[in-house]
Amino acid sequence: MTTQLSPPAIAETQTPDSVSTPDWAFRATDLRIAYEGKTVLQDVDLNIARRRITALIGPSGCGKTTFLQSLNRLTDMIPRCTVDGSLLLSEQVFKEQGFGDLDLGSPELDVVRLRRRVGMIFQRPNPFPLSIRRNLELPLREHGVKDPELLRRRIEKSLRDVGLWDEVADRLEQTATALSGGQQQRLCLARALVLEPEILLMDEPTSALDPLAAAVVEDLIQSLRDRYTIVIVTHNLAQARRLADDVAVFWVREGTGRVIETGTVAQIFDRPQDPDTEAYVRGLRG
Amino acid sequence: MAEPRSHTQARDFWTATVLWLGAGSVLALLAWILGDLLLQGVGRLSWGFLTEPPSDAGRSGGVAPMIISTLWILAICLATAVPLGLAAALFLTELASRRTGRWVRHSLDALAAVPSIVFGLFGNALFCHVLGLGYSILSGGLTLACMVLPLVVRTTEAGLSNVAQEIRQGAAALALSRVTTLRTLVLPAAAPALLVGLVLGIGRALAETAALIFTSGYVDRFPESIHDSGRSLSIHIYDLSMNVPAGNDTAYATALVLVVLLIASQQLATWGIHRWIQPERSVR
Repeated sequence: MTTQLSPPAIAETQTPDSVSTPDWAFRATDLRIAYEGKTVLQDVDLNIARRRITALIGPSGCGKTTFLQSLNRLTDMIPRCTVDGSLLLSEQVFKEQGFGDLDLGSPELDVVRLRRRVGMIFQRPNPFPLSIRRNLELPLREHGVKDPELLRRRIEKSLRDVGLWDEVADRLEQTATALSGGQQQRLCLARALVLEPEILLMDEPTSALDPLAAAVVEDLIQSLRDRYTIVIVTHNLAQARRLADDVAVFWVREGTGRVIETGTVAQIFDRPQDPDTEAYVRGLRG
Repeated sequence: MAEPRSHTQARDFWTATVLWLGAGSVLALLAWILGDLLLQGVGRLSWGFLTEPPSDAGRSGGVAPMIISTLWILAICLATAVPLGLAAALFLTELASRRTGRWVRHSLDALAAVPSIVFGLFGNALFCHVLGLGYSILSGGLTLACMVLPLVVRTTEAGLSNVAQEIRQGAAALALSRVTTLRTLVLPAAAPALLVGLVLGIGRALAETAALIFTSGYVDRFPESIHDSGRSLSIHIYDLSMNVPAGNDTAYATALVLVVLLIASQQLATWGIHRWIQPERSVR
């Protein structure tokens, strides 16, 4: 069964199965991911809509992070991790058109092209042990931005985008690891934004932060709505409800992770079809 | 059930005492050795001792040729072992498959356990005879490089693999190239471990006697090039204390010079590696 994630305007009036939206960013078909021969995720049929926020929810150990990492091929870094089935990135997310959809399963895939369009934020803030400026300058220089004036402008813009500019403008040369946890996470977001991606993958971006810093980062994610395609893994159901347009529920069945239900946030939280989804979103299970 | 308070306190007291004793005896031993060297050696020290060649089989004169030979041997050893060791460590952490890695690591550990006299015989056979370098500073330095290599590789490798996976993931997610990631992020983070390997390597190379007798020889003249035989400070100490009657004073003074040289070169290495590995300054 292939379920489609769809815009709310259509979804409110139609059943999800009959909706077909062409404006997707990722399309997974019969995806299976295994570590050292052991399947951790299978039968994943999932469309992730463009310029919407999709939350991946479900209990720990059901493959959400693994799935997220397959979206920018970070699974390459896991020894003996194999990804089967079809996983496509729509050509629409690229600035230059006409190259067709990107097959993320292809061994010849240009991961640089992929990762410049798909940024990632991790659970624990991971600024590089360099100055604040160098954290942002490094990816820019790596991808060909050398002009000092342009570098300065793009660094300032991305820091302003995450509300960090006023806090750090006078100490750009200081080491980034001296920032608070919340500031570090916002810097990591700025570092992803500085490459002007279209898609942001977020792996529990607020779970390692104190409640106040988490709220700031969550507001920030809200502010990116409509401009970016965001895929966020979260264990915080209230956060999923506040942030997401669409939700995919991951669950372990017969020993492997699967996607058991997808839909708009209203469908999943108010009219869940699957009994496990219902128990999970009501806080009874998982 | 909690133990009686006094019992716990007594146990804490004795544990602390034992630890203090352990640390204290290490310090005392070091102080003893250095003190003994100073007491017995300082009388013989003079500017001439550092600048003149030995005379009367070393009983008088200085140790200048040995200092020069020692520095040359050390330089050749490090110039070979450090780049090779760094390359091997990078291979192990970045490229090697699990099986290859295990094989290389086992070989290195076996190599590290080989007695230095065996390295001496090997160096003599390979460098002096097969490669035709003869008894020379070059043969000695290369033999020491073989000896120091496992030390450099293993400590550097430990440092490299300790670099947080989060940093590597962050770099990969930004599509940074492997070279950039290594140069800008991984190597600086592994610098302290690199330094430990270098300092241990210097210590082992400067202290070595057995391996050098068979390779760099013990001619006590000023070496004219690295193809000449040259006597290291450690061999000079050995010769003075074992073969030269009434050579003990000079042996102590030479040992003092060796220790100062050791500390100085380790400091230099520390300074140098921090200079080299500092991330380049950002453009204004």
